[in-house]
Amino acid sequence: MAAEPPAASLAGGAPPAGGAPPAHKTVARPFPIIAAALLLAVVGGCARKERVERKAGREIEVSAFLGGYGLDFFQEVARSYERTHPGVKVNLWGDPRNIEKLRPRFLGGDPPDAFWAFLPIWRLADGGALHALNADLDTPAYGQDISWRDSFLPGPLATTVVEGKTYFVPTDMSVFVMWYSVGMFKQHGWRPPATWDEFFTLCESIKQAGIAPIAFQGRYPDYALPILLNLFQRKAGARPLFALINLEPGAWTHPDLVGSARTLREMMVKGYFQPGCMGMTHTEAQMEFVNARTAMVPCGTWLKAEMANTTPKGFEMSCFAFPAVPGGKGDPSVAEISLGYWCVPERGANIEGGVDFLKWLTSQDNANKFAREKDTLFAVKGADRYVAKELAPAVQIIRRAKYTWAPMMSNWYPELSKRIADGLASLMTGNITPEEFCRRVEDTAARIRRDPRTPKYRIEPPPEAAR
Amino acid sequence: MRRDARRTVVLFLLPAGALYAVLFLYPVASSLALSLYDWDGFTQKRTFVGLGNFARLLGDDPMFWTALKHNLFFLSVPTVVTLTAALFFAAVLTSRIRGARFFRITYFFPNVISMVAITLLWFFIYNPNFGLLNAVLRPFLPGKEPIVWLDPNHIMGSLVAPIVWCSLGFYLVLFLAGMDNIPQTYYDAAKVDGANPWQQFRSITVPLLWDVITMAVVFLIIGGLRIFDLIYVMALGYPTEHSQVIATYLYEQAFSNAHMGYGIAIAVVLFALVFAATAVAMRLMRRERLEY
Repeated sequence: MAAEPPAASLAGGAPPAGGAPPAHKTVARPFPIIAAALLLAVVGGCARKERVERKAGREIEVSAFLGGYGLDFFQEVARSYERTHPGVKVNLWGDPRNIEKLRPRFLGGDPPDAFWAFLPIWRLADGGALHALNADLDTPAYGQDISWRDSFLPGPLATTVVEGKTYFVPTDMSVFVMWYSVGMFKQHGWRPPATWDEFFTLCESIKQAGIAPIAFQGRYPDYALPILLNLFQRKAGARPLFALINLEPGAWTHPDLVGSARTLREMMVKGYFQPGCMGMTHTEAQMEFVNARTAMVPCGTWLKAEMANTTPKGFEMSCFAFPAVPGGKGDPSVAEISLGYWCVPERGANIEGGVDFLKWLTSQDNANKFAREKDTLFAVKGADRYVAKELAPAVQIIRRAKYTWAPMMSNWYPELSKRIADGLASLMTGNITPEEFCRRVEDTAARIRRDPRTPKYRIEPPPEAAR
Repeated sequence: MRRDARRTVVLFLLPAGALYAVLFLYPVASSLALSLYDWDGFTQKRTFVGLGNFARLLGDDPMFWTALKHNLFFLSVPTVVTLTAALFFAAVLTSRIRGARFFRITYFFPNVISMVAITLLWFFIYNPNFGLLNAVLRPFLPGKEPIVWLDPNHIMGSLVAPIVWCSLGFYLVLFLAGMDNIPQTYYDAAKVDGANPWQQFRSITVPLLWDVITMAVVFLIIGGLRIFDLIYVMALGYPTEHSQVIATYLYEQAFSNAHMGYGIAIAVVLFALVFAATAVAMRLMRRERLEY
C-alpha cells in the first residue's frame, strides 16, 4: 500500500523531520482552502472591476469566433479604436469554441458588449437577449456623410430584420459560385458556361478528358444546396424561392424544385461529381480541386482564403455564377450570398460601447482593410474594390445581380437545415427519389410551421425581384 | 442498534449523502423539471409546457424513432459479434496455446486508447482515397470506384468494426477471469465421460460463466444505448439521419437547435430506456445460481 504523502508536501512546505508526528498538519490543511478563497476573491474582484469599467464606458468587451479569418484583423481594429477613443480599452478575445464560453455568460446575465459567434442568434433575439440596433443604424457612419444603415449593401442588411427590428450587423460576405481551374480550362479550351445545357456539355468534355468534372464536399452535403436552389431560382423565379425560405405550405414540393433535385441526382449518376466524393470533407474535396484532380468545385467565395495555405504555387482559380436556364422565369443575374453577423447583447454592461465598436468595425476603412487582407467580400458598400483578382468575377456577379438573397431558413430553423442536408445525402446516393426528398423537407417544414416553440420569420422578395 | 451508535452511523453517512444529493439527486431532479419547459438554454425565458416535450418527442418526431432504430442496431449487432468473438477467443486462450499472454495484452490494448483517438484511427482507415481498407481491397476491385465506407449506404455497417475492435479486449479479459475460476476437475470429469470440446464449452463453461455473460450483456446494452463519441467524431460533429443516435440527437436539439428543454426531455427518455433495457436483460438472463 502506498504511504500517505506528508501533509506538508501537499501544502508545499518541507516534510516533517524523522518520524515525529507532523505537528504542522493541522495548520497546513486550511492553507489550500485559504489560497483558493483568496484566488476566488481576486478573480471575482477583477471581474467586478472589469464590469465597473465597462459600465462606466471605459472598457468594451468583445468576443470573436476564432476561425479562418484569425484574430489579427479584429485585434488591430480594437487597437485602432483605442487610439481614436482615448481612455477606452477594448478587451477583445477570440476562441474557436467561444460559443461554449458565451453560453454561461448569457445565462449569468453578464454577456460581453459585442460578439461574433455561431450561436442561434435568431433565438437569442426572440428571447430578448440582443439589443435592437434600429436607432443606432440611423446615426452617422464613421468617416462618411451617410447613416450607418446606408453604409451597408441593402441585400445583406435586409436579412437582419426580425419583426421590424435589426438585431445584427452583417460583416463578411460570400457569394455561392462554381470555382474552376483557370489553367485546366485554358489548356483544354473550355469556357465558363452561360446556360445549364452548356454546363452539362462542359462536364461531358471534362469527363472525356479523363478528369473528374466537379469536386464535392460530400461529408457536408449541404454544399449541394446552392446548386439545387440556384437552379430552382433560375427556373421558377423569386416568388417560389422566397416561398420556400418562408416555409409557405407546398413550397418545398414545387414541381421546379422536384425537377432541380432530379438534375442534381442526374449529375451524380452521370459521374459529374468526383468518385468517392460522398466520403470527403470540405477540405479534402477542395484539396482535390486545388491539386488539379477536378476541374471545378461549388463553394462560397471564402474558398480562396480557406485554401490559401494549401493551394500549390501557380494554381490559378476563378469562378462563374450558376448558369441560366433558357426560358426560365428567374433572373439569371440573381446571386445567393451568405453572411457573418455581429451582435450586441441586451444585458451587456456597455451596450453603447458595443454598438460603437461594431460601427467602427464596419466603417469604410476597416471594411476595405478586411476585404484586402482576408480576400473576402464585405457587406459594406465600396469594399469590393479591394479584393484579390481571383474574386473579381464574384464582384462582378454581385454588381450585376438584380438582387441578392440568402438561404435564411437555414439560419432561422437549424432543424430544417439539418433535414435538408440529410435529404441531400440520401438523394445524391440514390437512397431516395427527388420526389421523396422534396416531400420529406416539406414534412419537416410543416412540423416547424405547427411547432409553437419555434418563432416564425419572414423575408419578402426585394422590390427589384418584381420588376 | 443503540441510539448513539445509530447517530454515529448517520453522522458518518451525512457527508457522502450530502455529496450524493448535491452532485446527483439535485441535477437529476433539475433535469426532470427542465424537461417540462420550452427553454433555449441561453436566456431566462422559459415556458412551462408540461409533458409537451415528451408528447412531441414520442408522437411527432420521426428523427427520434430513426435514432432509436440505430441505437437498437448498436445494442444488438455489436453485442452479438463482441460476445461471440470474446467467448471464442477466451476459450481458445484458456486452452494453453503458445503466446496466450501476448494475445491477452494485444486484445486488451485498444481499451487503453481513448474513444476519440480510436474513432480518428478508423476515420483514416475508412478514407475512400488514401484509407487502409480501400488500399487493401483495391486489387480485388480493379477499375471500380472506391468504396465510400462512411456514406449513407455503408456507415452503419462501418461503425460496427470500431465498436467491436475496441470493446473485444475488455470482455475477453472479463471472460478469461471467469474461466480461470472454473475448476479444472469438471473438464477432466467431462473428458472421462467422452465430452468433446464443444460439449465441454456448452455444458460447463457457459453455465458456470453465466453471471459474467449477463454482466457483459448489460454493459453492452447500456453502451449501445448511450453511444455518442464514436458517432459524433466519425460524423465530424454532424451526424446525418443515416447514423443519428439518441445521444447525438439530444446534443443536436439542446445545443445546435437551442431547444434545451427538449434536449433534456430526450435525456430523460434515454435514461428510462437504459433503465428498462437493463432490467429486461437481467430478468431474461436470470438463472439459478450455480455454486462450485
